[in-house]
Amino acid sequence: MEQGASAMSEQPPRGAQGEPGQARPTAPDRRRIRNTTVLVSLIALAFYVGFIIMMLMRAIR
Amino acid sequence: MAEHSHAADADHDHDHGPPQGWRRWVYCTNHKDIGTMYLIFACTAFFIGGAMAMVIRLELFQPGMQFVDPQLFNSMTTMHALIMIFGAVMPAWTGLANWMIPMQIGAPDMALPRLNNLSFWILPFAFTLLLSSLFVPGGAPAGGWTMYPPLMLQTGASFPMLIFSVHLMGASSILGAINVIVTIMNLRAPGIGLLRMPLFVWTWLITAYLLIAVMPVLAGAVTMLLTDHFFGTTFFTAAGGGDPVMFQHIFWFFGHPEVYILILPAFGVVSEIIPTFARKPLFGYEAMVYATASIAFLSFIVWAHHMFTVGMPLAAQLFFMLSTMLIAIPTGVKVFNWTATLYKGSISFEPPMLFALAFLFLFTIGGFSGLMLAIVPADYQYQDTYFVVAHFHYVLVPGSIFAIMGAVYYWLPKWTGKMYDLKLATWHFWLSTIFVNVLFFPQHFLGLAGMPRRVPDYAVQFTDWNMVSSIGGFGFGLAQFLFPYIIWKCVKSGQLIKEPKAWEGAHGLEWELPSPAPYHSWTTPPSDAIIARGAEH
Repeated sequence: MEQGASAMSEQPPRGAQGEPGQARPTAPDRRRIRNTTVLVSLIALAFYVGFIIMMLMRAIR
Repeated sequence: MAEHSHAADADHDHDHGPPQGWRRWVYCTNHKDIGTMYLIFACTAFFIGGAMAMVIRLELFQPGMQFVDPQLFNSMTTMHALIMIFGAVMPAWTGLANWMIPMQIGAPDMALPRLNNLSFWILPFAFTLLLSSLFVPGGAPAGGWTMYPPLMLQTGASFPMLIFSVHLMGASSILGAINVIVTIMNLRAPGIGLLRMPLFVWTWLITAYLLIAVMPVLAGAVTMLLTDHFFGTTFFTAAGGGDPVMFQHIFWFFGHPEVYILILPAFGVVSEIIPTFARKPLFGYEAMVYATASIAFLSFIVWAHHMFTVGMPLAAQLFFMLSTMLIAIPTGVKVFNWTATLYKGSISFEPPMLFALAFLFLFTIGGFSGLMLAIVPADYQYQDTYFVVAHFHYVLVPGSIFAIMGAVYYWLPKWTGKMYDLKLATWHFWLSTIFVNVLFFPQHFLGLAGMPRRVPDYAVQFTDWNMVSSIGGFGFGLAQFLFPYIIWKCVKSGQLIKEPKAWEGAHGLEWELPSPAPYHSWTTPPSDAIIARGAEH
């Protein structure tokens, strides 16, 4: 498969969510999930806050 | 603390079934149950919004005022759009994402199940609020779903209800999008790299990023509308130094990516269905991924093509015209790749494939009329005519909605473990396809002849095509009752399927799970062999 090389390089770290064919660890990698959640929420918040600041600046001007 | 949470996790680690009764649905954190609730909600909204469309077509069946007053007519067009966009199409895609993403990436569930519950349960409240605005003094919002001031600021008691419900729907979408991104980035089974994900997962990942980027902008815009109305600000009021056109810019900065939020998952679904029934791998998988990302990027720099006639510098018109036309390139890549997938395939025409093929032809018609609208001098003629109505309905009905129906017909056997009535579903397809063209194709002619949109009455020369369009509308509306009936019949008495694969040409991890899919999808990550078998695109 042509895309094999790039696919391999983008694999999540093996073991983070269990080995193939093995039972999953009792807790998923919570720290990673939390970090991604915070990051994505911050992106949404940045759009909201940035937008409001932009509008307020325009209103003040 | 860490030990405590591990112990608590262990309690939930065994594979338990759903709780019984109402608790199963209200306290639900299971991705399949939440997906089902989203889909039922979307179907309900589809019929409510459809009923409003029937009122519109009934009034437009002949010139003159027949059944409703102009105020109610305008409320119907406004509410029809809001309900179909925020209540039918978006929740349907979220429902499909909930059902399919964990199954397709080898995860047991969504990453944030409680958030998932919250993002669904916001919706019924938002919609109750929106629908109840029909019964307050002054009637439901009637200024169009685009909510342009100053017209929108004249809305009566329903105005704050509209703003609050838009806020709630936006919050629900943002929470859903966060969940999708976190799930895809963290819960892929080992071995499923980004470029081994199914196209439906890819398109949803990109859609989720669009959602978190533009929904806050909509929220900001409607908040300013609210403060203009109640707190004396003049963001959009010219008398106080504000600028009403500014609202249009902001709205369409949200609105154009929103269009792609409605259609990108459809691209994903069609990219799943066509290879299955052509019995060939998808042509140009990576090109499809990059085309999707390109469309998403371009969607942020084309917004002003919705408002060429407000008066803007020539340079701006040229920029937005050319950037809009650029979208035809990645979209063309997709259409040609689907066609190349079909080329020399061993094609069969089961209902999901019929819907996907109709999508391919009819969405492309909507795309072509979009290109016509992108041309500035031509748009000066088309602006606010029925040509625009024909264009976006071609993109959204035989585009998004056909793809949703195709997706349901494709995955329903996996969800229920039963096969639906293929003959009846084929009837549903043909009736829908014939009537959708009778409904919307004549609207191109009406628009080119100069009939404006959002009017309850019209000049007599537009009568014939309006009658044809209304007949198409009634036929399409009636045909849709087959859809819930087919699903209900399948759940009640469908023929059991014994194999995990409902379709012989199907690939993907979801088809490696038993049918019906277990309550928790992949409690054990799929083995390398299963991934290799399932990840053939």
